[in-house]
Amino acid sequence: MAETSTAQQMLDQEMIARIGRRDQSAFSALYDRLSGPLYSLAMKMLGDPAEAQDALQDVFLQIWSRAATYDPAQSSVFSWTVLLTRSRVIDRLRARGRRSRVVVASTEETPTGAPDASTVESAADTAEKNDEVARVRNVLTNLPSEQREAIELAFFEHLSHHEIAARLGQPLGTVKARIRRGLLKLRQRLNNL
Amino acid sequence: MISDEQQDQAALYALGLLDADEDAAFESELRANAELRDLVREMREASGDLALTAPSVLPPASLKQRIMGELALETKRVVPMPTRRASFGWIPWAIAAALAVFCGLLALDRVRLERQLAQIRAVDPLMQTTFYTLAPSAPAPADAKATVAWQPGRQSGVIRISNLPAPQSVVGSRCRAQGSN
Repeated sequence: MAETSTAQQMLDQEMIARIGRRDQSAFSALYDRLSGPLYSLAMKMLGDPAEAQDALQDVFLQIWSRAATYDPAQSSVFSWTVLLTRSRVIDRLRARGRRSRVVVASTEETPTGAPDASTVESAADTAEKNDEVARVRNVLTNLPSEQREAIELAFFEHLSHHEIAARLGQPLGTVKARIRRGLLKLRQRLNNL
Repeated sequence: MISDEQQDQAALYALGLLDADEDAAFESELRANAELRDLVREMREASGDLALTAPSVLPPASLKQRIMGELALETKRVVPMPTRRASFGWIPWAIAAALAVFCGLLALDRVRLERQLAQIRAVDPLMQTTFYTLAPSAPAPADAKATVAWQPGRQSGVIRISNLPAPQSVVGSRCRAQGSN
């Protein structure tokens, strides 16, 4: 996988196993490793720092309570935590009853508004991590635009395939095929990195 | 072989776009199809990586403190349970021990009482006395009464008679003995 090497995945799984045994230092280490990307995802979907922080808190408390149930056969730790984050964020979006959020027009866009300097990812982040992010962004950017658009609407805006079809003015079958082809291509290209 | 339709469903499932019914139907299909499970895992990893394309923003440092604080609170809420169980775990054993001691004391008391009773019986002549009440038979008066206290060990006793008529009217009357201890 692109986000995490095999060695990193093993480290993540070890941390999750320790968290399952109520090891707070492992929890702290996992927080340090994953809070950045998960918070960024929550911010992109919610567009509100306070809500994103609440969602992230929910996610990490869920990680603490559900670590023992994590199944490595189903997903990597990173994908599992992304799944949890999306789920919590979607709950909040439903509760707040609105769908107009940050526009996902381009993967190169900057966050809405000027972020607090203390919260913007800084040089402390490793070059390796930035490289990974750059590679994933590059792969996504190089997907056919109609596939990328459909995937981003589904992933970040949590629009259903019906809603995406309506938004794009395309038949439902076409939208499904775009999402499927886009995800398969994304996976294939990330595996080849 | 996985059909295009199954691949479509797998992609929607990985992105969490299926409704509850579709979700349940697809999951039952997944249980029976290892190849489909692998595809879902691949698609889930791909969609997980999409999170990295969100503009990078770090959460404030205070959030970690808040979460660790919540964790500490939760740990406090959870940890006392076994402690409480441990601190009160001796109670059933204490009750059992107290019952055993109590039963022992009762047994000792019983032995002591039996000894005392035996001593009293040996010392008090009344304890070895048999009492008889003699009921009157017709035509004796109904309120006439005779009580006999008899000590077999000494072969001696006492008779108490009350409410008998004058001696001449007693002639010929008979008494029936009713024994009691």
